[in-house]
Amino acid sequence: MQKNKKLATAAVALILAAMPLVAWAQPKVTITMKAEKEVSVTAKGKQVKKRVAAKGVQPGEEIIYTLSYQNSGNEAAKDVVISDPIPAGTAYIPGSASETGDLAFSIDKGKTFKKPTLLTYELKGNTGKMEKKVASPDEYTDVRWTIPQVPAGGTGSVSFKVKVK
Amino acid sequence: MKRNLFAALALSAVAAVGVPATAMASTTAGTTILNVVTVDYKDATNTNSFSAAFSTSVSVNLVKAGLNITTAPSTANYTPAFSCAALDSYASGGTFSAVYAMTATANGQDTYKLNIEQASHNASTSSATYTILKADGNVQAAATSAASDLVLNSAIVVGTSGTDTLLFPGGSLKSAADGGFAAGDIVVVDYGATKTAYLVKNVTLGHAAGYTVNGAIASTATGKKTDEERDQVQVEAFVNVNGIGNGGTAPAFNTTAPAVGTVVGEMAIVKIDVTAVSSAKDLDASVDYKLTVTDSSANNTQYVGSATNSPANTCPAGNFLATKLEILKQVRNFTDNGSFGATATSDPGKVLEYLVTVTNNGGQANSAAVIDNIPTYTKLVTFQDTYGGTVSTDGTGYFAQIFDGVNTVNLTVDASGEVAAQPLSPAPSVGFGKAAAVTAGAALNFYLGQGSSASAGGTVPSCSDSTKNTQALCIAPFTWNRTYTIKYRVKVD
Repeated sequence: MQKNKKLATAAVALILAAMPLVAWAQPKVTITMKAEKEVSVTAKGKQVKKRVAAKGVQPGEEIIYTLSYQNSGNEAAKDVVISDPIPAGTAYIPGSASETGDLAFSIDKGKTFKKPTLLTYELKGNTGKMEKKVASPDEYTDVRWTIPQVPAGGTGSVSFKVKVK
Repeated sequence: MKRNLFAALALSAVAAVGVPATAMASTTAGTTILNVVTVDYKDATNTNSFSAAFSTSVSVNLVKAGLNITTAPSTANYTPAFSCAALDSYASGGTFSAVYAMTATANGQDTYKLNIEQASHNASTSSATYTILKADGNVQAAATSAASDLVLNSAIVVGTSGTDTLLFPGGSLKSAADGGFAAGDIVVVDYGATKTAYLVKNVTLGHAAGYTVNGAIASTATGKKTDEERDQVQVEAFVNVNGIGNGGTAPAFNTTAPAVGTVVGEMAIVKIDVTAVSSAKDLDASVDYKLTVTDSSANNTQYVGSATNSPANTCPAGNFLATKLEILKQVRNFTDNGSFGATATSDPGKVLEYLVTVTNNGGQANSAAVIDNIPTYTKLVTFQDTYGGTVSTDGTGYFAQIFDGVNTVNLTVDASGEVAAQPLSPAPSVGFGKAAAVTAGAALNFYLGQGSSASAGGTVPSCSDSTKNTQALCIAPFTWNRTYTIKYRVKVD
């Protein structure tokens, strides 16, 4: 009898372990980020640029942020939106964000996102009339990528650069 | 034409290299740059939404910079400039002092290295020391001629709060235990063309923004953010301070605030003392001094000294005047009302008066004493009431007179040896004297000038006001007494 009981417990555990795969198929996207900077190193008498982890940076230096995503779920993830506010104390470097999916920027702390060329705002000019302006990259407050679909097991990464003020 | 263009390009490249790193540093060292990324997504049915987040933190490094060395500002609101302290003349062995200000301009705390050098001319000995003074003039670091370290803070302002509080990135400033800004420190706030010195009143350290999801492992959690609390430095007016003087105004950041991105730097006041002893009579000594200040990596060298001086980067410490003491002894036949001269003739029984003149047209001499003797075949004449009064018969009473150009004292010889009633107010010591006896060959000692006593000489020249015993301080109505005369009389046997 003792032996039978143990077998039964094992069977229940097996069923429980198998259940999520069947009953609750879902995407599971995780994201990680690394901050790096480029340094010049001399290798075999030649100066080459190398990326190293940016633990400490000098004002004026660039930080390269690489955002890596992975769908470890068993179903495709849809409308994957990666949002990253430009860190305080830094300025976005124009053209540095990877052109993955649908890339958009915000100048109002993420309330609205637009394509760079559409990023305009209005100011009252000298004439008293409202004048339309295009935001310069260092006014960007947020960067956002929208990726339509990341399949189960799919991975990818996007990146952008900022300059430390 | 092509070659010219290349030359121009090369030139501009060189110019760019010369731009100091501080020009770009508009973030305080120790600032945490927090980046939080969020991913939002839906499942295949487009009904269930999910989120995950991740963060990284990067710390801003110190960009070292040289100290801004200036003349100690005469008011708290000032335009920084440097010039060597004004020259003056000092007694050989006297002390030249000058006060300068050193203000940090880096984006964070650094340990600056100080070293003083001096080169002397016509001096047997010379030395230069520097002393770090606090805002109230008290000594922060004792005088030294050796190399030393000086920790100074500076940070980039990110805003102000109320009338008197400067804001810095949370967690960027060092704690008081680590030598960070502390109450009583002098800080210089940049208003563009002018700068204003304030005193630190209070420091409240905050913390950087944080996020719970970070590290190496990806998470499906959305995490939680801790908001930044900025570091605060409250300042107050800088008044009544040694070296800076009056004129400090209370901060009013609600109406006039320093621009965001400008440096708030700690100021140290350094006092340089130079002394030299002239190596030869009649030759004045001079000293060139140079205080070298570098950052903690021995770069960004700055000097208390002028680049255009020779030697370069030095300041002159003035002239340490050699003493030029001269003595003249004259005699006259007092009984016959003769004139003072090198010689005199006398019949036995007549009275001779000696006049000893001590002059110093150079630097102040210390321990000025005249040692004389009662001439052979004579006896010292003493007086009952005052020098030149009624002749005393018992060998006691007044025997000599010292005159410093302003005041006169009469010297007595009696049981107690010597007494010289000094003038009352202002109260210099004109001199003291001592007659060993009234007989021929007995020693006559005279001690001259400020600081003299019944057994030791003082300084010659001296001021007619004893509280102002340097020539620079001794101004009208007081006089700088360079000439002392001593009179005494003897009767020829």
